[in-house]
Amino acid sequence: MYNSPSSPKKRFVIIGLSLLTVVVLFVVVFLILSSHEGEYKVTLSVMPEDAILSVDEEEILGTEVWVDQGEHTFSAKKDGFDTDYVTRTITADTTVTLLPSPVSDEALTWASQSDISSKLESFGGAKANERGSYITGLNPIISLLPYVDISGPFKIDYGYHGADNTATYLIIHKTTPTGRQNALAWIREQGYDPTQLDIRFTDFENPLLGGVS
Amino acid sequence: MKKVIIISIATILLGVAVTVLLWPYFTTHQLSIKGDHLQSVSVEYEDESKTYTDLSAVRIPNYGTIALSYTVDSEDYSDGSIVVNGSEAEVTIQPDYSLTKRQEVAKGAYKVVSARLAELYPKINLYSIAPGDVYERGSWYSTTLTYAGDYGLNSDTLRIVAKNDGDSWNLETLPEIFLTTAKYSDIPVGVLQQANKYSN
Repeated sequence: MYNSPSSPKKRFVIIGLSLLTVVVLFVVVFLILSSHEGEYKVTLSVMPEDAILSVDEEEILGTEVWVDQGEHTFSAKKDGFDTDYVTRTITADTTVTLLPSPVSDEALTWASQSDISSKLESFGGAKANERGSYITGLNPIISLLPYVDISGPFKIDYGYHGADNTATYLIIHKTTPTGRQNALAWIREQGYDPTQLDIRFTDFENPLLGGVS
Repeated sequence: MKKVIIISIATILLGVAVTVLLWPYFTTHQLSIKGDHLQSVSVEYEDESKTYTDLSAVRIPNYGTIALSYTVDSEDYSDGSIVVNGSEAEVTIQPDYSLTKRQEVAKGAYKVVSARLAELYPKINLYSIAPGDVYERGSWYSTTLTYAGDYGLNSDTLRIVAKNDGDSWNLETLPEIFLTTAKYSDIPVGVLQQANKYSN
């Protein structure tokens, strides 16, 4: 009954335990490597579906990608189409719609098919909504605009600028010197610091800079 | 038997006394304070206050929000206070100039800035320039230009910020109704906020 260290049974147990240890190590390493802690899932919705997708200029397979918090550029390219680039500051799981524009005859013919055309329209709508929500998230004050105060008197509108037109500026106009101060006071009342916003007084002509005094 | 009881009670009392004495050292930690012109620092936490003149001995609770008020050793600087978290081990306190010192520096800045504005803007006589104020130990100056004529569509008060470059003052902004970080990202936001608030 006694098993010497070199007995086949003992050797079998040692080999089995070693294999198990290796497997456990592999599983642990796999779990660590595949963990997405501190990352967010970005789902890419793209039309045409066979466009080549990239994140920060690196091609990816599939339509789901995990990225760190921060700014990332997503793109979809396909021959015959203008590549669509979307830059987003990612702070949560999100969906990014990419819609390369058809430019070649072949691509335009493809896009004009009735079923494709209606799909493209729906993608276009989704993309516009997505962009609107993103910009509002970056500049929440614009959800309160335009705002008009007749007694102020002032009107506050907004416009877009920047490389991808996602930065906003506020336009204070249809007003007077007192109205401009009332407009700034209104912005403060809404909980925003006007010093840290891009504010433009479009109907003010600065007397020192050649305006009407 | 009696002796054993007395020794036991004495041991317990000694233990309690040592714990009570050492308790503050378990619940507080040393705060390293960097800065200049500081005379004393008071740690204020939950209605208790302790003042230290030896700044290397300052201890703060390990948790919560703690107010540190400080006094200065020179008339050129002003007393003040800051808030720190209990988790912090080091803090820098740079007392700002006193009102008298600020007025003195602002006076010098006013002369330079007024002359510069007159050079740059021929219509500056439409405005009256306020004495202004300085911030961050005289590194920055701001003032307002109040329209001297009748109220009109463009008679807004304008603001301007200048920076001390050591020998003189350089205008860092155009005269504008309101100064923002979007346009003047090189100017500290606190300076712009003060400039936008300042009216005199």
